[in-house]
Amino acid sequence: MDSYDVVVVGGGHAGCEAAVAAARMGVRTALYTFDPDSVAQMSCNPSIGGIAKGHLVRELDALGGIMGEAADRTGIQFRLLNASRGPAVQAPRCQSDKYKYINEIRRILFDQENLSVHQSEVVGLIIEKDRIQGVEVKDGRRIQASTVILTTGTFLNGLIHIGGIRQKAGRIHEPASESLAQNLRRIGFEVGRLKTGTPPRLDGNTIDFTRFEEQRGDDCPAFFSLKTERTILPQISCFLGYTNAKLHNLIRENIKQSALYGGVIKGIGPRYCPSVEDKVIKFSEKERHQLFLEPEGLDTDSIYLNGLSSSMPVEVQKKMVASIPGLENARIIRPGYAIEYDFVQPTELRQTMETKKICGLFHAGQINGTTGYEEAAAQGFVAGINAALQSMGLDPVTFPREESYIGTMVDDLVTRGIDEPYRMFTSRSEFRLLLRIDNADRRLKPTGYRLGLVSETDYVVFKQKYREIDLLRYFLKETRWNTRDAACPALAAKVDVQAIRGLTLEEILRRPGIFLEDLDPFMSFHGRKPSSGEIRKIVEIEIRYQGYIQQQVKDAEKMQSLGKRRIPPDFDYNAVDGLNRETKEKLSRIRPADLAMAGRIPGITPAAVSVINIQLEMRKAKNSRNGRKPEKS
Amino acid sequence: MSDPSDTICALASAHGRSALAVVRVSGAGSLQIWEKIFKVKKAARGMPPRSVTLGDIVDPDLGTVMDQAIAVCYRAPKSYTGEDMTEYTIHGSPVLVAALLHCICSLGARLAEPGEFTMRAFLNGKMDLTQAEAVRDIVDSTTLFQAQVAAMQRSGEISGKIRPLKESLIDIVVQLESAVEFVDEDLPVDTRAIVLEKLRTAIKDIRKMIDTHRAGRVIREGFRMAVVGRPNVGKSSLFNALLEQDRSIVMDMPGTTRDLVAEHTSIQGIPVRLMDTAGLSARPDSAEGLGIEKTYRAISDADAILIVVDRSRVPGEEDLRIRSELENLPCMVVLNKNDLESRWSLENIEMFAGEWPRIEVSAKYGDGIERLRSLIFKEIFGSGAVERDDVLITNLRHRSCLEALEGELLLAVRSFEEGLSEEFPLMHLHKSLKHIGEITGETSVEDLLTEIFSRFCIGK
Repeated sequence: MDSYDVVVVGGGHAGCEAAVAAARMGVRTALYTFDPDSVAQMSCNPSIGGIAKGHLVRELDALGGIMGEAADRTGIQFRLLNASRGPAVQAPRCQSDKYKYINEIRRILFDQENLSVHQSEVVGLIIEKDRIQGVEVKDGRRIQASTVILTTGTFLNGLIHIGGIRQKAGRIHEPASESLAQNLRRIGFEVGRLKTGTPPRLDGNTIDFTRFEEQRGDDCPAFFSLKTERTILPQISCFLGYTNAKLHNLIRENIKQSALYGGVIKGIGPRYCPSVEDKVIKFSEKERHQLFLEPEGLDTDSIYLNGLSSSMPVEVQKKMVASIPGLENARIIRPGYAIEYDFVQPTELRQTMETKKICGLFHAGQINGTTGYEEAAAQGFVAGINAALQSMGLDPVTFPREESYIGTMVDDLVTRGIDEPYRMFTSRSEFRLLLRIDNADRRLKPTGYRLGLVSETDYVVFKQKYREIDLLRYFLKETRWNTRDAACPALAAKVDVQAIRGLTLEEILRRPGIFLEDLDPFMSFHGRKPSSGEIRKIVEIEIRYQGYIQQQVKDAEKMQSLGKRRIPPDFDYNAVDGLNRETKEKLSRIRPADLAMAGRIPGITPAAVSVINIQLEMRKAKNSRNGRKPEKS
Repeated sequence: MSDPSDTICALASAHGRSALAVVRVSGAGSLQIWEKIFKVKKAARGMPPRSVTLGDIVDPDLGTVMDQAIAVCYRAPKSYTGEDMTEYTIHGSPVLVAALLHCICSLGARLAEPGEFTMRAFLNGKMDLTQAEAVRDIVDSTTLFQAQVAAMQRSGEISGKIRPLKESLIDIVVQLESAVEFVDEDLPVDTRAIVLEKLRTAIKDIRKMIDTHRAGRVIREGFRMAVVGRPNVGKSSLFNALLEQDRSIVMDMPGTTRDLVAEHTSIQGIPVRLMDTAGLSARPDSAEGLGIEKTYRAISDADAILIVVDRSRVPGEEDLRIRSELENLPCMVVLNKNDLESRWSLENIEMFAGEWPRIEVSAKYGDGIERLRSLIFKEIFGSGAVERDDVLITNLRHRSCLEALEGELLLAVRSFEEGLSEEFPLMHLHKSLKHIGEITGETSVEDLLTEIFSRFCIGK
């Protein structure tokens, strides 16, 4: 019988990240997928990153994940979003050549030591005494595994809708996983149904692009990985257009034929990714909606029609597309569709992504009710490292909210559960100003290094970088400006250099419009000229926004003090007086890891948290009394 | 669970009127607060720990003496809670208690949650296991208590007014968050100028709420009483007689209006602001006209009015005119000069006073003044301006919440004015929503997202 430490079921963004992380940590890892040729597929838009999502990818990169570099190597347009705003909400996004991305990830998978990729459907889980033992594949073979990670995407009982036509499928023309879905229900997991959709793909040769507004990428691209220095592939443009009254009328006339409005779809869809039917019906006052034409790759003419997600019958979709100026003759390569699929409530999970019911079984990605490649990859990573750690008999690693979006997402999922597909937003973090792309490595690289996922060389570079930054910060804080050492014409052009004598350099840099560059001659004179633009930028951010950053650091410390009060996993909430039945039930189900998490559970009052705290203290007191020899006799 | 690093305060003795009331303050800031509000009679140096000190409770803003009190100061860890702690024993008036708590909160403390002192004592190892069982019972019961407090807060004076304010803040947050999160969407979000305008309006509304909040005003400025009557009926002597009694715990405050003498006194622990008016003359075009205008303003500002008449003179036309002017206002009729022969018949009195309470006094000799004070006290309670102390404290919570709210909004405006992008003012705005949430219930991220998605068509 084949035997592994970690078996990953599914080859999407979560599965690939999980498998590579586990294998790199040195445990025997296997990845099972329907089709090894289409791992890491971008089933929806050919794009990675964006606000909050780009943050996630940066964090993954800092930890030693694979998505960032792969996206950089296969990006065909890069943009830094929110470039005009503050550093905390800026984030990179790229258009990807989705086929090259698949190739890139596949190469990483196949080159990876300790990792084997298998083409087979996993049809069942082997469980004994609430502990995972392995998986069963389609041909009846049993694979032994000490841990299993399920990353099934939209495949669990997947059901595709195009108008009135329904078809069981995980993606279009790919089979759904039915027996595994049944298996999960049998275990007793809380299973729900979600829905998502995708727009039609068009043949680029049949599009009149002149009728659209061209959108180019940034001239100076911002990348996901700190290691990336330049683009590899030729860069392309996207095109912007709009829906119109004709299209809206078409939708209204045919609304009954939409699978979404015909009443057949029961799953809950994401509100931030509405179908065009939803847009027209729910926002009827809006005269037009944006449409983006996004190329799916360099070697394909397939164009992703972003903004026209639909579950209308193909014939209606054809008319809808043709109603758009420039698309009169456009040919649909693949129609849009809606898909329903099973998910398991993520409150079934611990912060490690391991299920509470079955030891050694982990869930990551859309199975947890999330959407997005980046969200999936991040969860895959967390599941991958913790499965590996568990199989090695080591302590788990979790990510606090105040340290990363990854941790924020996992905590949201396992604490609150979901009632619609979960997507990352920066507003989900109460520490938004701390979780920036510029400091993702500072926040997470040490963890990646500890896990063995960041190479020694990379870590040395990282340490040097922040050593320079810290020394520079110290210098700027302690050094007072004078006009003797070196003339700074750039500074003189902005301020009266005599008037600012005696101010520290930090104070000068806090003035609007002043940059480190303006002080270059002075810095050079003292041998402190920053060695790179990146370092300049980080130092400027830290100085300029110090007040805000410190406030959030203080808030974070407050949370940490409660977070340090751990609640043992076997804590009996039913034995606590003073909690009402609903609270006891909720706490017993979610089993918060600490008091801070308990307080974040919806409906748990501060008084309830206090009651638990007292109970914990009493338990501690009892234990220490029982453990101690009586002093008096 | 509440933040254990805060300095907290609360009424430690039983609620309701009593001879004495104990206000307890615990936490790192409690000694600094002591320095600011407790003035020791003799130049006692330092704060001798755990000994009783006599002194005055002083309003830190106005410098006025609120009450005479004894206070005890404890230093960590030798205190009930194990933290630095102070206790003030003051006269047992609900308003006085609320006023003191208000002052303490304005110096950086916050009102304690039920059971919080005991909780701290427990967490700081000041109790053994058997005592801890008792603590748990206390905190257990707070669940119920909090439900009551919450219900009271919902019905409180402010919470109704705060709802529209909350909505407008959510509107602002939704606008700003949408602009940050959905840059590529073509959203009709407000310009910075409009958002800033909305924010300033919100701040104005909050200020107004704080200023007009009745319980808050009574605590801050006292119950306002205007003394009116035609000239020479003895208004001023009555005014002085009322002030005279309590000199020991009253500090003079110069009248803010030139022709109005306003002084603070305290009636059974309730601060009262007495306004002596120029009298209601029959000749509004005369030199006294200006004073009369101010008199009318004082009347309209007052929570209650003392009408003074001269019992030794036959009721005149002027008396009747005053009466008709004050119709339907909360008045008390003071029949002065009862040391002289009465020229008012019982019928006269009945006609004049009608529904109003009335009392005979001699301002000159002090006769009946004590009874008048009792009458005023009854009027204050009957008017609803002063309620039970738990209500007062609830309202005090509202007030400190509004003040915190205002503070955050001002900071949000400042980040805007500094030209920072949305996420910076948003940090303050999210905090302000938290403060509002203390009264109206929490606004979660999900609530905000729901609002965003229902308002804007988002998603490509």
